[in-house]
Formats: sequence, structure tokens, C-alpha cells
Amino acid sequence: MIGDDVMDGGRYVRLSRKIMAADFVQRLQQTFRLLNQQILVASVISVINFVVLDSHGFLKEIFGINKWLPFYSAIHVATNSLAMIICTILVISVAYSMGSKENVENSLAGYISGIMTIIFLFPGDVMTGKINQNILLNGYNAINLRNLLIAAIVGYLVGRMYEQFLQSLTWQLAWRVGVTLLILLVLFIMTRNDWTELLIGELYGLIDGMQNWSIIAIPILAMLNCVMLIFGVDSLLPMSGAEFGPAATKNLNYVLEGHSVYSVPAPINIHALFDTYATQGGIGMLLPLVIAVWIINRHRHDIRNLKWTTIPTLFNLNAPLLTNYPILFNLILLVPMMISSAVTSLIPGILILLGWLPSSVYPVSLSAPGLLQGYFSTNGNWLALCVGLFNLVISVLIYMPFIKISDQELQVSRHEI
Amino acid sequence: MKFKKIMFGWLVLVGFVAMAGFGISQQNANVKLMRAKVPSAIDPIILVPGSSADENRFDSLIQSLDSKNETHSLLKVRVNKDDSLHYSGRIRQSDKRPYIVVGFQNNQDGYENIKKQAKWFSIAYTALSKRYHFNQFSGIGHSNGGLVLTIFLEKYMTSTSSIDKLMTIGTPFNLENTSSEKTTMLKDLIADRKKIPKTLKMYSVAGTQSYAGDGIVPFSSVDSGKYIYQNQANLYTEMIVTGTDSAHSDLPENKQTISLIRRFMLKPGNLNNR
Repeated sequence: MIGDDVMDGGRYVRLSRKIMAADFVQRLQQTFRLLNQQILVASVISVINFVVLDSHGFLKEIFGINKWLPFYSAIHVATNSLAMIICTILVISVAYSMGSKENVENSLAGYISGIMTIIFLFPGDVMTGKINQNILLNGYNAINLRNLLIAAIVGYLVGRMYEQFLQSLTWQLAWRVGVTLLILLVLFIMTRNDWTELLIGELYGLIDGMQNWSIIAIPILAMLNCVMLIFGVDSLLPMSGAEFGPAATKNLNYVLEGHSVYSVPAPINIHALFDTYATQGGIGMLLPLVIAVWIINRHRHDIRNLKWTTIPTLFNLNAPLLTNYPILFNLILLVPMMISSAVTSLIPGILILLGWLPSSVYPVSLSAPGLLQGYFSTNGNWLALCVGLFNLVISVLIYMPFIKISDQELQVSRHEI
Repeated sequence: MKFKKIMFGWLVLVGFVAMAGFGISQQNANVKLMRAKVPSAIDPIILVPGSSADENRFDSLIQSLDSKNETHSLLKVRVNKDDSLHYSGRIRQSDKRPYIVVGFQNNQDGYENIKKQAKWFSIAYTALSKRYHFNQFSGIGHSNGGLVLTIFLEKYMTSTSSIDKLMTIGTPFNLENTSSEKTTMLKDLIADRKKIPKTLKMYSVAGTQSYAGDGIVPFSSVDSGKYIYQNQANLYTEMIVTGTDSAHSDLPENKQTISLIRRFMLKPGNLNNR
């Protein structure tokens, strides 16, 4: 068996084990476990707000909820505010928990971490205090991994710095504090929205402009995205407005002018392949992952926690799953994640090039189930629906053996602890 | 346990089918709406003649409108009594602002006939917009042609099309009635005025040979257009043309009318800049 080979000799597995045992990762998992109930509440309100009531919410759109629900606007405003408050409290709790040593009550480091996180995540210009409505409305109306991870890193670094300050000052210590501050500063610059958004936009334009090479570049980009996701970097970047890049916009306009979907100017682009077909349950094809875990772990006790994360994942809200199941920093799961992301963006690409499948041109609600995105974005092409289903099944199959290895690995490390 | 599993399976399947079904019908509606919002490259000027005139009515007007530097193609369509269409002339492929004249085999006067003509116009419009891929147009209606276009806007135009500008020339919104009493037709037109697009720029040209009117249509009847368009269209302008060629049937060839059309109607109305 492949699995045994990897288990026995794998330097890769040992590396994964080492990373999973790192102080930061351990504390992160401990924090997520501790805040489990709070995450559950935030997830429920997020699904209601993001999928059912939001103006672009999938269920709101298909059932026209705003038309028949009495007091829709009032309910939406109330839920939106509640979601923002609950998600912000969760973010600060994560910062506090990561910053305070051994989660003691009334930890000064924890409080400082919380305050630092608020500064980091301020939705707008920190210098002028001007709030950017867009960031506020898009980044805070649902549970968001980006915010949780920024809180975790800030909390961890501040906590460490606080501990160092308590020791007597030496040159070595001053150096360490300096480095920590530098990391914080880099993180701060990295997580400002405007320029990262610009960078992503440029990258999208570059890849979509490659013409024939896009079909190779897009699966590579998909794999790169998985590496970034596993290490949490992907989540640190803002949810970019560049998702509907210039090529996709050109195609859309072309079709709206009355031309055929089969003759669009740029049939192979990131929106058409990656966004539409390779993000079922968010980047990394996480819906197949959760289904694979279900199938393999059917009788296990720890599956119970995972069950309720399936619904948010179905609507592409992946934060509940990522905080509940050890995916972050798990190198073993990175392999199937990369394979399935590449395969699922390559299959529709080949079919489009063969002229069997129309390119995905129409925009689709962010919270529409990944499985149906192709069907919707081609405005009802049956083959696109079949590709979505096929991608789901094949990804589940790709994930299954690796989930087994990963679970065994987790059992081993738990015993070691 | 087994029963529970089967139920769960069915639930997932039904949920999936429901989401796909409702989702795609919503997506269809969205796509339709998006199509309507993207202005087509072609934005024709559609001209409708009045009663007793046919699709050749505007030949000399169009000749006068064309300048040395700029000529536009002309397509003529006649709608027969059996709803069939007869085309003559053609639209050049590069022409973004062609003229289309829509005439009717039954070109009799009278409210009942005008209503029929509006229906026939809608048949022609649907066929033309599909054939030449446009979703926006400007309209010019002479005499009862202005009534046909008004009824079309109120009754037949769908949300996927839009009209940017309309010019009516000597249009009797209150028929030949010289008193201020409103005819049934005017009452009907006022009743449905809310369906006229709020973005429309409307110009009403009246001819006055005497102080009372252009010899056939009383000025007060043209002036009644305000009850329909004022405070509904984006812009409602009334203009009076006098002097030579200001009799009702001469209005389309009147030099002032031609210069008004040049000034207000020939430039394409870009939906994005509205």
C-alpha cells in the first residue's frame, strides 16, 4: 500500500508531524478547541446572514426571500449587526487566548493582543480613522478565517514578546523582540487590503493573458493556492474583488451583446476553471474533504463535531471546518488537496478547449454550492453540472486514502502528547 | 437506523434538485436582466409614419438628414394585416445608427386602428431586435405615428429593451378635439403613463400655420402630450415650428424640423452616460 510506504519511511510525514507539533500550531488548535462553542454560534449566525439574508446570498436569491419575508430589511440589519458583533468577539477571543499564557484569566498579554488585533483588523485607514464600508460589510458579516488567523498570529507574537519583556534585558533578548516587532510590521503591511488586492488583480491579469498557456498555469495556480491555504497565507490575503478578472469581464460583455458562449474571446481563464470548478467548499476543494472524512470516520466519536461544519462548507464558508478539523499546517492533507485542485480545474479546461463545454461566463453568488457553480455560470449547461458532480466524486476518492493516513498520524501524535 | 439513513439520502437529493432548479431559474432571470443593461452596439432610429402614409413617407426627410460626410443605411418594414413582415433596403454592418421605417398595410385613422398598429409595431420591433441584435432605439413618430410609439411604450415594450429618445411631430394626443375635454384615447394614455421609461428624453414638435394649429391637428391636441409625458419622462420639451412648410403633412420636410432632428435625435443615446 502506498499509505504504508509513506508511513514507514516518509521524511515527508515526519516533516508534517514536526510542523503539527510546533508551538504555534499546537496553541492554535488548542485555542480553536477551547472556543469550539463560540465558533459554533458564529457559524450558525454566519450561515443565516451570508447565505440566507445577504443581498447576494444564494438562498435569498433563489427563493426571493426579500420579497415574501415580512420585515426583511429589519431582520437583515439585525442579523448583520449581530453577526458582526459575534464574529468580532470571536476574533478578539482568539487573540486573547493565543496571547495569554496557558489561557489564564485576566492576562495582560491577552488584553494587549486583543487591542493589537483590533488595530490590525481596523476596516479602513488606521491613520485617518476613515472606515471602508466595503471591507466592513464583506469581511465582517460572516465568520472569516483571515480575521481569525491574523488574530492568532498577532496574539501569539504579542504573547511571546510579553514573556520576553518579563525576563531581564540582554542583547540577545532585544534582538528577539526586534525580530518579533519586524514580523508584526510585515504582517501589518501584508494584510492592508488595497495593495494586496492590486497585486492579486495583476496576477490574475497576467495568467488570464497567457492565452494557450493558461490551461497549464491555472492548475499550477490552484496548487499554489493550496500550499498557501495550508500555511494560512492564502487566508491572510483579502477576499479580492479581482475574482472576476478582466478576461472574464470581456467574455461576459461579449456574450451579453448577443454572441455565442462557445466563441468567447478568452475561454480559458481563472474564473472559468478555478473559481467555478475547483473551489467546492472554498479553496482546496474542502467539501470533498469533509465528505471523505464522513465516509471514513463514520463510527468515530470525533465526527460529531464535524457534522455541523458540512452545511457552512456546502455554501463555501470554510472557516468552521478549518477551525474544527486539523487541516491548517497538515502537510499530509496538502497532497490530495493539490492533486484534486489541479485535476478539477484541468478537466473543464480540456472540455472547453475541445469545444464540448462552454466557458463559464456568468457571475454566480459566492455562497452558491460549489457543485452547482458550473451549471449556473453557464446558465444551465447539463455537461457543466455533470463536470461539477464528477469533480466532487473524484476529489472524494483522491482524499480518502490520505484522510486515513492523516487520521492515523493524528492518533499517534495525540498519544505522544 | 436504516430508515433514518434512507430519509437523509432523500433529503440531500431533494435539497440538491431544489437548489439546482430554483437556482437556474433565478440565474436565467439574472442573465436576462444583465443583457438588458448592456447596451447593444447598434442603436437604430425607428420612424413611424402617420395615417394614410406608407413606409416610403420619410424618404425625403432621410435624404435631407444625410450629410456629405455621414450617411446612414435605411431599412423599410411593412407590417401586413396578417402580421407578416415585408422588408426592403438593408442595414450596413458597420452602421451603428441606421434608420428603420415601420409602416402598416392597414394605415387607416381612428383610435381602434391606432391600437392595432401599435400591436403590429410591437411585432415588427421584436423581429427587428432579434434579427439585428439591438436592445435600445430612438423613435420618431409623425402624426399618428407618435401615438403608435406612445402606446408601444406603455403597453408592449419589455424590460429588456430601452428607448433613449423620442420625437413626435404634430402628434394629436387628444385627436382632432379642439376643446380641452379629454378623449377616451387621451384618458387611456394618461392612465398607463407610469409605464413610460423614466429615462426617456421626449421632444414634441407642433406645427402652427394659424394660431390654432397646423391646419389638421389643433395645437391644444399636441400640447395634451404634457399630460402623458411631463413628470414621467426624464425630459419633456415642446417646440413650435411656424412659417413655410408648417402645415401638418409638410412638417417632416420642414427645415426647422430637420435641424431639430439633427440636433436632438441623431447622436446615439449612450445608456451608460445617462
